Amino acid sequence: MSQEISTDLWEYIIANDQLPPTQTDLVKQGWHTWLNNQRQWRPPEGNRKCALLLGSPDDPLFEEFVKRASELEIEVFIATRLEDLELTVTIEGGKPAVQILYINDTLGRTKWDLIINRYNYYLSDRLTEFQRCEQTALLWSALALTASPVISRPSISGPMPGSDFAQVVKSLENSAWTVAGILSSNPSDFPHTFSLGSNDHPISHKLAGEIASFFIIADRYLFLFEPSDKDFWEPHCASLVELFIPLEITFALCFAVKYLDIPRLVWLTPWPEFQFAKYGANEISEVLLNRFFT
Amino acid sequence: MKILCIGTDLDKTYRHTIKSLVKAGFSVEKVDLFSLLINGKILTDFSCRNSTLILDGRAAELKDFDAIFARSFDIAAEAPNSNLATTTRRSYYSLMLALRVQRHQKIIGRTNDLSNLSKLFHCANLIPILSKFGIEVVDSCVTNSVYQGSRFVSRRMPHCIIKGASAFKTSTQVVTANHLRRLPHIVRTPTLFQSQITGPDVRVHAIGNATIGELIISSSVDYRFSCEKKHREVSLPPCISECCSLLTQTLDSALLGIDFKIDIETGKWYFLEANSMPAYHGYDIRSGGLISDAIIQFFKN
Repeated sequence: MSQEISTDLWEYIIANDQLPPTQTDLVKQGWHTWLNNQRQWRPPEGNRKCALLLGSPDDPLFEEFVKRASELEIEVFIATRLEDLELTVTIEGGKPAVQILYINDTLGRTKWDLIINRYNYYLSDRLTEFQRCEQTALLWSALALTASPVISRPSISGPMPGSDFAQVVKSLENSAWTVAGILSSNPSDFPHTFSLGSNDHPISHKLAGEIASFFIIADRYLFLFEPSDKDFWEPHCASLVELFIPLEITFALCFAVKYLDIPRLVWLTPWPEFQFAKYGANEISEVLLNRFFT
Repeated sequence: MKILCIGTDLDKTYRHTIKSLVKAGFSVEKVDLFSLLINGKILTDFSCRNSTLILDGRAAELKDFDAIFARSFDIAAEAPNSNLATTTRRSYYSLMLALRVQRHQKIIGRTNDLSNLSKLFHCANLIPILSKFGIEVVDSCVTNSVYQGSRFVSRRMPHCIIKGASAFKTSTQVVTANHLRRLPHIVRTPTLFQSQITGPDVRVHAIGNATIGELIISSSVDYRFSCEKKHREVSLPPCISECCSLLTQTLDSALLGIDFKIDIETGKWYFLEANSMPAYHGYDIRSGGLISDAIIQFFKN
């Protein structure tokens, strides 16, 4: 039989769910996963909630979430490489659809009660630049379009950290907030994480020690750490919460100059990094996970 | 009229644009993209929505220019070491951010939509607009699953094409037995599969409210890499022009290069993608400078 695969062959495979005996080993290998998956798949059982955690084992924040999630009465699936997941985004008949499968989940779950996304370059450091672009494109599309709740979900403005900030700058134009400065992005954590800017940034220096900070989880959970006069800050925080509602449950971390009448937004990120260590990853991860699993 | 141009002379479209702007009598100040990203600084004052570019001891404030033309891209991937990669990527983000928040109305090279870094997500987000104008999106699937890839392809063989999922430049090919043998590779290299639409390609350049179309007839599945192709100026149906103009507004992108396919049997228009930094010099030369003229008008008005 020729190496060429004809339409007839595809029809044969669909009809019989197996390859014709004359096909080459190479083709068989290509079909192995499909046939195997079909044999293994069973409908999901029980009502146990499930969380999918995508991140790196050397990431303390990710580990904190893994630890906390493991203490809950839920199924936890940990993906440390994109290859641990089977991701598919389709548009058929003008309708987009997403499927996110954990590769070793024999129940073949596609509905997640929570997805925590801490994907970064470190998870794909063995890949070529091209592979990395393609993986990012796939992961980013899947997380942006999935119906499951995602922390953090990529937004329309793209996997470029600054673009979210730019949207916020525009959004705040007619509000009580002004924007005091910008801190540069950290490419090693592309696409979702900022670092606290370049050390030589004059605004960073100026604001050091003069800032308040708080976390917002955009579905109205708010962690306010400083300053103590909550009465002053809370109305402003509420307006920020409104602003971030379209971002679903993305975190926002804001700094504001304490002594000015007008609150000044300096920085925000879906993943506050070192601030977690400072202000208590325990508390935040606990509240966050409880939000979804209790 | 004073225009700030940011780009690299290695880029044909950039060179072409500079020439046409100078020819039209604009005062052009050029900033080399590589020098700016490697050695320069971009400082943004958010309170007055203005940025300063500092390079070689000179400072240029964006607000001092009447308009900005930028063709900027991330050069970090090819940096010789990680320090330079970090510096240049940081500068790139700063530049994009500076363009996004600048008060100028006349900027070519900014967009609030970077989602064409993923072709499929880009399409998915534009479906509500496209469908208003009766424009369809081609059935598509991007996956790292051999099963899902096989399933999508098998339903469409032999009329299925394969291409890259991201903005990385790849050639489009018809799926063959050779591709199928290599299907397991998609586990590490996700791939975009698409129903093949047979018929001419149309590239529309939308600049503000102006739209310029070109029809491309080629026997090859990817006309860009074909020697045998015919280009023809095409008069766009009003709904296509209207849709393209609306896309520029929606994406806050003054210039877009929008790709369509027309099904030769049904005459239906299918949207493929909208590029916010299109390489348009070839199309412009063939059209006798219509795109350049539209850009000049955009800046003048």
